[in-house]
Amino acid sequence: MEYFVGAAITMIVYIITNRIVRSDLKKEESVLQITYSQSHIYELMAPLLDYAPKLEESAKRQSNNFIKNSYMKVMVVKNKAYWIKDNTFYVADVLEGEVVKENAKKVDTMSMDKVELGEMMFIIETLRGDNNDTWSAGE
Amino acid sequence: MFDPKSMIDALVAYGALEIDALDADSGEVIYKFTEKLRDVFPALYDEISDQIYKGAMSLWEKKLVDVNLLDEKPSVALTNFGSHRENWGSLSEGELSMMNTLMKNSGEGR
Repeated sequence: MEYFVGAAITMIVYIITNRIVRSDLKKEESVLQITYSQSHIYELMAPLLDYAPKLEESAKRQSNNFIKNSYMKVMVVKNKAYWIKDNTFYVADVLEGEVVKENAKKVDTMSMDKVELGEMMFIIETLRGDNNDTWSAGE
Repeated sequence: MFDPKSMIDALVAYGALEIDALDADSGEVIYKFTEKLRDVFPALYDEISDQIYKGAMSLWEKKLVDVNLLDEKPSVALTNFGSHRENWGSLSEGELSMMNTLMKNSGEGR
């Protein structure tokens, strides 16, 4: 009988302790994906100048693949088409329902006001989200 | 000459860096590194890993996070104390990024 009482008390103490410890943790994250601003990345890279690999030429070759790909997710807002390719945010004009890919350029967020930035954030989140309604041919 | 903008473009093209969002206040693009960074730019990967480790330890000392280094996959989690922004005090940019990421991942806002 004593053993049973001892085991029961141990079990109760274990459950209570476990609940207290778990309640102190909001959420376990096995992978911590920290986000960095551009300026913070500059700071991180500056001291590593001597160890920087030669990436630029290969990157340019990869960016050419952008033209060759057939399909991409495009969002059209106010006669502008937006898409993310190779993790870069692009914009181009839309004329008579067609994307004018010749004037495609990277979105310059530095010159935008808060309203425009809000729109851009919405577009990026939509493009990155699960909404597949805007899939269309990019060519 | 070192051109950080070109390097960022190259890292993005290699898939070592991803656009995560835009900062509503500064307009800066917010990025997130991927595991490919380990192969593409090992020195930067080591530097970031080191910063994350030191940042986690510093935040743990301030009782803002719990760090579990004994698990197979080491983890960092907000404490109840750390989940209240008024308790953050003055944090470095790296620590602030880490806390904001933890807050975002715990579903308590951006």
